Amino acid sequence: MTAAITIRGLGKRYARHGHAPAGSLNETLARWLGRAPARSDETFWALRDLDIDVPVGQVLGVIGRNGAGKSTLLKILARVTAPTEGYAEVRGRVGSLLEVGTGFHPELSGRDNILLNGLILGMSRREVRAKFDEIVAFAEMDRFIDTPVKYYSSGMYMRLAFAVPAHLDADVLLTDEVLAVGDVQFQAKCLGKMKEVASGGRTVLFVSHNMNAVADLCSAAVCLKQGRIEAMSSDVRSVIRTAIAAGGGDAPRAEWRAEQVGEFANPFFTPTRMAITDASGVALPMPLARDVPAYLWLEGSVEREDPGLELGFALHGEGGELLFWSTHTDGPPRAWPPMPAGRATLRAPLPLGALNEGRYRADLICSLFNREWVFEPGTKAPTLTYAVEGGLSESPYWRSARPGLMAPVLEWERVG
Amino acid sequence: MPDAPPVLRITAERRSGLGFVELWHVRELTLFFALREIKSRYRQTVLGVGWAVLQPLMAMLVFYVVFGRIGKMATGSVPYPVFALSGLIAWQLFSSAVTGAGQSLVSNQGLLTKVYFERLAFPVSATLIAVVDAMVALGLLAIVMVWSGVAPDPLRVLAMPLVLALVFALAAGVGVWLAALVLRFRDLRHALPLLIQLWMFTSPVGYPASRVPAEWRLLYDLNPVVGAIEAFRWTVIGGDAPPMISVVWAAVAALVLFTTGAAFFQRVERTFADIA
Repeated sequence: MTAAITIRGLGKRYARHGHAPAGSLNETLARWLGRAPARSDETFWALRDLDIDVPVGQVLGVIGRNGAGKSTLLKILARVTAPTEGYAEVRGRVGSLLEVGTGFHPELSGRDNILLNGLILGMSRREVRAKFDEIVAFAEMDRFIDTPVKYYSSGMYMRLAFAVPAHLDADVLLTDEVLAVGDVQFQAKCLGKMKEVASGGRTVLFVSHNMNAVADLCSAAVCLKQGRIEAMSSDVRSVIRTAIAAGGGDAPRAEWRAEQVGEFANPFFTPTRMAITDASGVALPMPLARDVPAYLWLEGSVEREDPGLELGFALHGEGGELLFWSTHTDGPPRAWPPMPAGRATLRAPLPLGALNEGRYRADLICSLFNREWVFEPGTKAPTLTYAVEGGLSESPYWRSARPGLMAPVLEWERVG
Repeated sequence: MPDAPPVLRITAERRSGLGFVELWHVRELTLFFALREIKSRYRQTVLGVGWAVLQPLMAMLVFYVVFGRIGKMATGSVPYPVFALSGLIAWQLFSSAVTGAGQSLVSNQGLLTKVYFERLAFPVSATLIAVVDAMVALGLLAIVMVWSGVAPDPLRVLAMPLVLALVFALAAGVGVWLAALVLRFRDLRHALPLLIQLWMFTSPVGYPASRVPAEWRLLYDLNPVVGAIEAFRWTVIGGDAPPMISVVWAAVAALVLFTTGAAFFQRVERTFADIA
């Protein structure tokens, strides 16, 4: 069997603060020009000692927790970032789909964006033209094809954005979490297309948090943990079980503290502590019972007063699915906690009453409203996990967990 | 049995070459990037492409008042507006290409971290945008020349594309250097407009190079843009041809800047996604 992808001893080392310091002149000049190796405590291996063979036609699911190295692996194979050691060989034409709508320009028409996106993904102009009608038909939007995409509904935008790469004739397709966007119908359509691609004998590397999609699509799976291979097998279910067990094996980390001064430092808001606490900021023992009030507690220092500063968190469910975002500016402006420069401690009540039993992950998010992300969802940010168990209801009939993401107790009344 | 598919080997070593072959592979994309910018830039602006005319026109008026009227700059038989505009067109081609290329990686961080294609496409397409603006501005120059009764020599006009290519090559060379540097040292982004401004006043844009005092002339001529602008002005309004040595110097500088720029770019290219 020929291997479509051969990976040997692949590793990637990052500076610990990642992209945080924007690299001011005097800071980096010496290090960069002197090419002095960064001290080892300033770096970490996002990926290490990876050996993987992907035979032609295999659909390999890559799973693991956030920060396990999944995206790094994909970025190396897509040549976006270079490995630090080892090598990878990819046979055939590579199509990488790390996000949908790469390079889409809001002012350009759907037609222009199809061409642009196609060229970015490595198609030639002729290829795009040959596939054009097919793409438009798949996206179901012939009527609006000459309208600037900024007037599209988000559904239309996503359909078009997915339609282009879906028609890329690649021997090896790399994709990352593409299915995590869009509505259910759109996701189903994407999954259908992915299946079609997979059964067409092409090799696919599919990074996902969506275990169902992995089980459904993949003929093999690899689970990464802290940059190394935890499990790899063509028995996809067993790898998924390993992944879930690995995720469930360690206790939820319901408190995050900056490990050293300057961690996550940036010019706007530097977090120092994030935790699940009671009303006074004392960390609560895990798991949380649903009938005990709990707060998301956030401490840090506002480096500079900015009217656009927004602090909040993104809450995810067990499978990595996003439940909601919440920020301190969600209420009416008069109710927003003021944010002058200096130390700040915030808390927000967790809507435990609506959430089912299970494990949750809260990621810090922070932005300057409409200008830039300070902590963008999905990037490196302080994060914590917590578990909810018990205290679901006072009803004698509701004793054990029910299916569903939510498990609200609604007030039933008889009105007639 | 079909042909064996190409094998892509991804290693820690940087690749050899200057990236020109890879740039050729993405030529369609490079052109379309420029087109995307041009299309979207003037959409929803009232004046549209008129801005490409208005900018040199306004600069010309300012120069006319400051140098021509107040400074009483003598430009021989050529009306000062024509003199200034010819310098401005070459200069703006250079400066907007350099600025655009310098910002090109920083303003395309989203692409840089999500997808790979030859990164030289970013600065190069940014310089192409400046060429389009220069073409529009040339139309303005033609109008101003007709209006002031200055006729160009057809033979010299034939040399114009060559001289513009020289200006373009200089801009591309500086731009490629800056693109890589600005991404790493964001401070440069703020220093860039200042640098460009200083550069303009040390180039013969609003005044002829012959006005520079003789004792400064050697130092002044080290600026490769001097020869390029003087040569461009000569193709438009004639007069004394610039010394050959200054044009050759500009060409040599363009070549050196572009090759060393590309080499430097390749050297640091692998880290772009990590620092973007």
